[in-house]
This record gives sequence, structure tokens and C-alpha cells, in this order.
Amino acid sequence: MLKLTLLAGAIVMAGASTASAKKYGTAGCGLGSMIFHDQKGFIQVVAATTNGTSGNQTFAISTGTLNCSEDGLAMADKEKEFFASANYESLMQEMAQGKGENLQAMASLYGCGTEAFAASVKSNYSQIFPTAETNSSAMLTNLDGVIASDISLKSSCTESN
Amino acid sequence: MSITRLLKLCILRSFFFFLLLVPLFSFAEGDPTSVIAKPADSNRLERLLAEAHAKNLASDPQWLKLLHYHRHAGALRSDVDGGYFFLSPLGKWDSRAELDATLRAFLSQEDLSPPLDSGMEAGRMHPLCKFRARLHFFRERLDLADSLLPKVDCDRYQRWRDALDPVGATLVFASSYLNNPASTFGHTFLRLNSRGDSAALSLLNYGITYAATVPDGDGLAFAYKGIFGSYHGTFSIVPYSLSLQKYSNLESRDVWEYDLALDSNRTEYVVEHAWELGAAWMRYFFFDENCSYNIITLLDAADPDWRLSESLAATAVMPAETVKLLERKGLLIRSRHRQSLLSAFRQKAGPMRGRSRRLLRQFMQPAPDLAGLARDTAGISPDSLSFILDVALDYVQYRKRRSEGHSGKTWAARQRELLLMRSRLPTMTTSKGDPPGAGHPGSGSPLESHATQRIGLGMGMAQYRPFLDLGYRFAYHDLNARESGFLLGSQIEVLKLDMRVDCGRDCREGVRSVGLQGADFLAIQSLTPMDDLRQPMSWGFRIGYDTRPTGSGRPGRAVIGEGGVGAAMDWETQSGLACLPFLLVQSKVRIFHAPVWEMDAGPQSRSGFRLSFGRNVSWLFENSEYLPAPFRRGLESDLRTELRYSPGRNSEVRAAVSYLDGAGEASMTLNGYF
Repeated sequence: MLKLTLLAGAIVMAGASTASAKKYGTAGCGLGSMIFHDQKGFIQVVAATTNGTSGNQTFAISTGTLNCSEDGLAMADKEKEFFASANYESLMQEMAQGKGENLQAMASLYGCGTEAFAASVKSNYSQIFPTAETNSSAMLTNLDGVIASDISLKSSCTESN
Repeated sequence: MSITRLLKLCILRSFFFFLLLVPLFSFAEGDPTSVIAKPADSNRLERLLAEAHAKNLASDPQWLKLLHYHRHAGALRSDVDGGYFFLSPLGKWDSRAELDATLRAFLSQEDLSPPLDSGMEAGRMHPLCKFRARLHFFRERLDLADSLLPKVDCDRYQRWRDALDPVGATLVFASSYLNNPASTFGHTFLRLNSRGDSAALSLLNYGITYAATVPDGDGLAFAYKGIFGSYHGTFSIVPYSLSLQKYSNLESRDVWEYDLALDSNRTEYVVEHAWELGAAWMRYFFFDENCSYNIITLLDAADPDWRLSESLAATAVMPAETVKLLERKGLLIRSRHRQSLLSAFRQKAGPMRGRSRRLLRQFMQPAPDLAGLARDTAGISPDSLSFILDVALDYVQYRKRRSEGHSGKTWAARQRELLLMRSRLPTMTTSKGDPPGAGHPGSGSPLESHATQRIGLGMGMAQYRPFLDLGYRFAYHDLNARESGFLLGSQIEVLKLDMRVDCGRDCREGVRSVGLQGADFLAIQSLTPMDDLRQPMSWGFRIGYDTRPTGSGRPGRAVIGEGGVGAAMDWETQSGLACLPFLLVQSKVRIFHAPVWEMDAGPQSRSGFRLSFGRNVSWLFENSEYLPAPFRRGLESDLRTELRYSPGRNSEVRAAVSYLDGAGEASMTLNGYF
């Protein structure tokens, strides 16, 4: 049962660290916090949901507009923020490795060629993740800076940032 | 913040939002309230109704599926229990009333949508915008020209549908997760594949999932409520990447994806019907009307000729069984296995030896031994170092996600060091792990798993007296069963009953007694092997009923509760021989009637091993030592050994010998899974 407690703890922490981003804006959609709140309840009560995610207004199919989603879909202009916050851990790792599905998806959200994007991100890694505390929205800001200053990459992207 | 508080906040917020928007609603989409119904409308409606009745659409299989009509205790009625779904008050029971009401609503200039506060729906919508699959159905079956329908702008649906831009769907199976009773049997959901996102970009797709909404703090009542339908289940749409983060990375569950053979018309039906179901809710039943059942009924609505829900077992709908059902119907075209973060780590780290393994171990430490690291990395090729780092990074990520406070900070710092080191090394050109068929035999696809329920017929001798055994088990898998498609070392037994016919000296001379020999209400074991890299804990518990040979004042029949933790290991050879030894230290409580109601309790050790030769043969050896307090009865020692052979996926023969406190018993059992 120790494993459970630890897991619950980790998720409590994840919830706490993202809770400040609840009022979205440049800091992201707050979806990260919603996700982990979901998780926290899920693990803590052990019994919180019956098979899968518990009902969450964010993902309801026809709730209308909520946070940065509409009828359950992330709004187009928030897609990058959403993806980066939801998949931050995986992105962090794949960006250092120079390949991976999350990285590929991120390149596509930026409208850049995967290989050019991956190479640029990898060589500017310490600039994109300056500290161990860098969060997903800071990462996106840094990433925008890297793309803007990398002329060869910028030319491969359909969407300039 | 708890989910309930979050929900309250949302409701409160949307309420104020609503107040602000009330004056705007008369201009909202599909709300032509100012238009007065023309007399010609009633003629059109009468014509359409007559046509629908003449074609008997009310009993059309697809109409019934679109309304989620199924037989419940002989009567046909809808699974949908509430929310915004029926346009007729009789809709749940009367498919014709709902048909008439739907056509009437479609042709009506007036918006018949319910008021805003009646459900999850924020914003009113004309039924034509809401019931898209029904409209699709009418267009296919009736002479329904667009000119007959009121001019309604379904902007909201159109935006949603265009954002999804579906070209197909994939069934996703997340394997079982022992740490959450709700997910013990796995989970299935549907991924909608967008035109813009190729297979490589499937992370950007959305999944349609069905789940129960469970308030915080239901704790023990959860099981009861989940099984007997106290929770509301709803469909929701979740970004696929987010689901994968949860299943693969947080819960360490392997995921299988099966592309479905859906043409564009059926895909459109699925999307439209998911939209229709958005504000509906159904009572959630853990065993039958669960997530997998409702994914099946969603598919059924796209093509009733598949007859999917009719082919499901009546007693329980297991996620893996629904995958098999779709395979039998020829609906699966391509599959893909996604390893969880942890199983990718285990697969890659497993064969590493010598310096690589030493390095890996050092990278996996929260605080590195710099001198040792410098010594071991000297002269290593950048590619080898990259590979080792990649394996270590999977582990560090796994640990970091599970750590908090100081330990979390330590892992984050460690991760950053490794990531910086990794970013300076070359990108690996070979594809990252996951060759088909690799991994432990136990990690096979759900399609290879044995079925859920089991019946058995056995015969044997106990203390020189023959007996016959009849066994039934409701679910799901035990330690000595064929492990393909299950987690190695896992056991989940729900409602296992063993009846014994005791023959006296000779069965031909008549039956001496018939009785319940043993039962498991719930028996779960999770044996997770440890090695030099990871030391996860194993655990297990059981609530059941046992019969033991009486004598030396010991209780014969007793209700048992036992549970505890321990350790397991795993050795495998290339030739398919695998050994899983384990040791658990448990507490045990026993209630019995001998000759008055009594209870004893004490520590118990359970140890043994499982030896498997390929997937069709395995041998389980178990010993338990129980020391009940008050201690006057002394140690109770049980030994049991069982050999299994599976000629096929759903059949097996087991030969067992056991000594319960020295009283011997031998038996041979034939089991069938269904």
C-alpha cells in the first residue's frame, strides 16, 4: 500500500504545483491542474472513478465553453499550451533525446518540419529548460524565442512565432 | 481541490455566466423563436410521420440502437436514464413515441430544447443541431429534403465536427490496473482519428470515453454503488495524449490500439451519436453496463447489422472480451502496442549486463557517485551512452512523477542533469523499443487472453476417500493460469465457488455429502519482481471461505480474511523457462463455529514459486504457515502444489496435491473458460 500512498502524494504535489495556473492566460489553460486534480481524487479515494476518468466538465461533449475548451475540444489558439502542459514530462525528455511522438506532435502544432524542429530544440536545450523548475508555459516562451532566432528552422515552419 | 468542489464551482460559475447571457439567448444559434409556425408545416409533418410509420421505422434496428434500447428483464427499453436525450416523455420505453416526437421537433420552428439548467447543456440548441445521428438516420430512410426542415444554423456542432474532422476510429484498450479496483479488468475507449493527424501524430487526436462520475469520499460505499448502479455514467471527450499520460506514464499500464474497419458513413454516425449522447446519462453498472459496454453500444448505433451488444455476455462485460468480439466480427484491421513507461524501461534494462548495467544503476541513483561515473563513462561510445541514458531517463521520469517534496526536488535535479547530458549526445537512429512480440509472454495482447468466467470439473481423493468437485468462478485470472494477455504475477479472483461431492468409500455406493468446499469472494495478488535496479513491493489479500480437515481441535469451516506485503523475483531463460519465487508476510483473521462462534487471528507467511515452461505449462508451489492466537493450537502448515497444462486458450487441466496440516489430498481438474 506504500506505493499507493507515494503515488497519491506525487499527484497531490503535481496538483499543488499547477494550481497557481488555474486562471489561464499566458500561464496555460489550467487544464494541467484539472487533470491532476482528477488524478488526485482518483488515487486518493482509490475508488474515485469506475473505469477510467471521472466525469469532468472540461471534457464533457456539449458543455459549451469552459476554460480553454469548447464542447470538450481545446480551442485552436490554446492547443499548444494545452499539449505542452499535459505532456510536459514526456516532451522534456524527448526534446533532449531529439526524437519521439510528443516531440513530433509539438513540431506539428508549431507547423514545423519534425527533423529541423527536433534538431533545433535539442541543440538549444539548456536555453529552453534553463532550470529544473522551468514549467510548461516558461518552456513555450523560451521555445518561441529559439524558433524566432533560428532562421533555418523558421523557414521550415508554416506558422511563424 | 476535490472533484465535487470543482464541480460546484463550475456550476456556480456557469450559473453566473448564464445570468449574463440570458438577454443574448434569443439570438443564439438555432433559436428562431420569433418565427411563427406555418400551416403547411403540419401537412409536411403528417406526411413524414405516415411515411415513417409505413416503413415501421420505430422498430428499425438502427433506430432502436440510436435510442440505446436493450432488453431488460424481457422488456425493451433504453439504457439512457436522464439528461437531455429523449424528446418524448415516453422515450425511454416507447420507441414510436420518441420517433414521432423527434420528427415533430425537427420540423418545428420552435426550439424544443430544455431549459439551460436541466442538465450539462450550456446553451440551447435546436433538436436538429443536437440529434445529428437521428437526422442522419432519417435522411437515409425518409424522403426528407432539406427544404422541409427549418433553416437552423448548427454552427456549434459544425465547429466541433470540423475540429475533429474524423476519418476513422481506433479502439484503445488499457490493460488492468491492480491499484484501482475500478480498473482491475482494464478499460476501453474509442479514439477518433482526424484527417490532419497521421498515425504518427495520433497523440493529437481525441478519445471518446464512458465513465462514471463518482463524488469524493465514497470510499467503501464505492464498490456497492458501482456494482448496483448508483453512479451516473456519461460520455466525454478527452485528448488522447492526456489519456496516454494517465495510463502509460502515471499508472504504468500497457495500451493496445486497434484500428476499426469503419467507412466514412459509419465514422460519421459514431461522431454524430457521441455528440447526441453528450448531455445524456445512464446508470453505471460496474460489471455489465460499464465503459466497454457503452463503447460497444456507441459502435452498434453506427451499424446495427454488426449486432455487437447482442453478442455480449449477459452477466459481465469485460473490456478484453469486447476487443475479442470486435475481432470476431472482423472489425479490427491494425493493431499497435504501446508500452508503458515502466515496461519500456524493464524491457530495455532487462538484457543489460556488465558495464552498461553498472552505469545504468549509477544513473538511476538520486545522487550520483561522480568518481564512479567518470570511471565508467571513460571510453564509452556516444551511442552506447545515449542508449543507457535513455533507459535511465525513463526510470527517473517514472520516479519523479511519484515523488513529492524534498525527494521530488532531488529527482527533478537529477533528471535535469541527465537531460542536459543527453541533449549533448547524438539522437538514436534505431527505433525506440517495442518490437512486436517482444517482452514477457505475460504481456501479450488482450486478444490472446483466456476468457473471464470459468467452470471446472474435478475428481480426486482426500484421506483415501474419493470426491467430485464442481467449480465456478465469475472472474478473472489466477496465478497459475495461462498468463498471455495478463500481467505476470497478477491474480484477481472474484466470486469463486467450489462444491464438493463426498462419496464415502466408493462413489458408486452413493453420495455421503454435498457441500461448499471453498469460496473466494475476492482474492487479489500483485507479485512484482524486484532486481538490482528496482525493488517494488508485492502484495495480496483474500476474503474467502475454507474447509479444512478437522482434528487436533482445529476449526473445520471458517470465513477467512488475510492480507499482507512481500517480495517477488523473476528469472527467465532464453528457452522460455521462467521462475517467479515470492514471499508474503500477512495478517490473517478467521471466524468459525466450533462448537460455538469463535475467532482467531495471527501472522501468516505465504511463500512459493511459479515455474512456467512457455505459456501452456506452469507449475505452482505454495506453502503457508499460520500461527493463530490464542497460540494453544500451534502452527498450521499448508503445502500445495499444482501443475497446469493448457491445450488451448480457454481450456486447461490441473493436477494438484495438497497437505493441509498433514492431511493429504490429490485431484485432477478440467477447467473451461467462457
